[in-house]
Amino acid sequence: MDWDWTAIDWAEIGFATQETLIMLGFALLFTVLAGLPLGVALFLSGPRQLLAHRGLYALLSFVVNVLRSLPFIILLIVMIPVTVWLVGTSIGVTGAIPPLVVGAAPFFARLVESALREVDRGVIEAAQAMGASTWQIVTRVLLPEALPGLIAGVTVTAVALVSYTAMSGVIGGGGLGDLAIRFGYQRFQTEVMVVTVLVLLGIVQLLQSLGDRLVLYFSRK
Amino acid sequence: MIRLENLHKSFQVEDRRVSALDGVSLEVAAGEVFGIIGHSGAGKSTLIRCLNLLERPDSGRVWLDEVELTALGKSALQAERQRIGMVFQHFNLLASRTVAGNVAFPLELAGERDRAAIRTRVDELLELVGLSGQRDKYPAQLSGGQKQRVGIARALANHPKLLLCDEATSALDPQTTQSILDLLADINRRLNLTIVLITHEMEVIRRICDRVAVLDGGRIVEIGPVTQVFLYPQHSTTRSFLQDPLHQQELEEAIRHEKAAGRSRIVRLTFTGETTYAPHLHQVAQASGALFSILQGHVGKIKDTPYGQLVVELHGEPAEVATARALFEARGLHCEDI
Repeated sequence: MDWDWTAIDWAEIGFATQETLIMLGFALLFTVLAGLPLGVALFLSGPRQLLAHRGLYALLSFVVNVLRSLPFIILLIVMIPVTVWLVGTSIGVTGAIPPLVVGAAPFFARLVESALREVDRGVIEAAQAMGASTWQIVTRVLLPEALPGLIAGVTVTAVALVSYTAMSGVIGGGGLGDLAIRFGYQRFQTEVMVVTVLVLLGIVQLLQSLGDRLVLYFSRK
Repeated sequence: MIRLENLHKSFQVEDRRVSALDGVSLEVAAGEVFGIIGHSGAGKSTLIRCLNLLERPDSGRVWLDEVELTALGKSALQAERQRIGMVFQHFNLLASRTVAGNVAFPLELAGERDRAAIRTRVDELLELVGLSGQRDKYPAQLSGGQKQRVGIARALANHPKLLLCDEATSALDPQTTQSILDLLADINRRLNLTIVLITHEMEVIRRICDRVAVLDGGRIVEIGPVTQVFLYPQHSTTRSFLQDPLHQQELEEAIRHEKAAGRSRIVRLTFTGETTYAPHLHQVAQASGALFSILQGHVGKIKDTPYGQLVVELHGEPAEVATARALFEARGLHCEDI
């Protein structure tokens, strides 16, 4: 097979990369905004925790599990009416963000929950003994102590989101995935496919090494 | 200062209920160092956690001065807890904060916003515990003894009325234990701070406590001044903390040997205070004509009180022995037949 690199429209690739980064950025932002409180709620309501509540924990856990067990490609389609209601469109970069957040937030919430569980119970007990309120324990003990774990969780989530953004090309979500499907798959331009994969690979590498550095920086153990 | 009334607490362990506290009442006076000793599982951890209600008793009341802690709502209890410092076996420092940050933590929780005031107080406390040079280090960079000093500085930050020590020296080596106990004794003297500590080590009680309660099976089996409980133990649990099994065995062998030889006038002499270092045996021997052989003996200190305890065999005519006993009693020595 002949490789024809001259046929690649680099401007198109640059634009698609930009779209992917925008999707990734906003999706990650809203994922963290939604997933962090959800993860904290999961942790606090869990068995033998500060606000242990069997019913609430079961409910949150169930919702998270349902969303996580839904394949993302299905979620993309199921979400269409909700997406339209939320942002007015179900296609393009804007249309891709709500399903990305709904797909990634429960995943991130579980990572938050497990990062918080790593915090030494003795430290929480010490804060209680000092008269800390639950809010103070969350904001001044749990989150700062779990920071390296939380950053690692954000990194894993960001990498997962990169592959989700590519998948959203299926519903016309824009970005590199969309480009790969339209040119690489539907028009048999394998070169475009190769380049998009390489760009995605670069983004993932960058995210991972940035995350690793931050984790290292904030680890005091 | 602090008063416990009939505390009960039990836990569900699998399919049965285990009683951790079974009717504990006690009172600790202001300025006192009060020790609670017990074997593991005796309920001492539960007991100390009931003092600041980290553990809520099933029934009974806890009073701190005139405030009944068990009757307080959540936020009132949180406010009272800021006046009770607590030191932990495993230090429980925030790994993400520096030494200074850890000591500042309770001040921040209490709503102090003035950074200069926090800094002044933190420096003062680090000076007190001897860690001024370590203020910007993280806990992971400190030794166990240093971590515990941070723990103590943190516990003192809000000028507590009461300091609780939960096995504060159990994770430390003997030398470090000594320096931490010295620090606690010093704080007790300098700040006139009431201290309640739990431990399974008699040494800790002997070195810094004024009074002690012996806990066994969730009950207080013996309570009193340390000199009293230490020198005249009544309960078998107390004895188990005091007697070194090897020493005990050696003494029993010596006694058996002497009794087999028809010599059975063996007594335990106990003496405390000023007269501890006086030449009792020599003087009594001279005055009574009775002679002594020492089977076992120990001279030491309980907190600031010197004490001695000797197991001796008396030799001589019955009249001489009787005189010797009378002379011991007259000198304030406690004389107990074995």
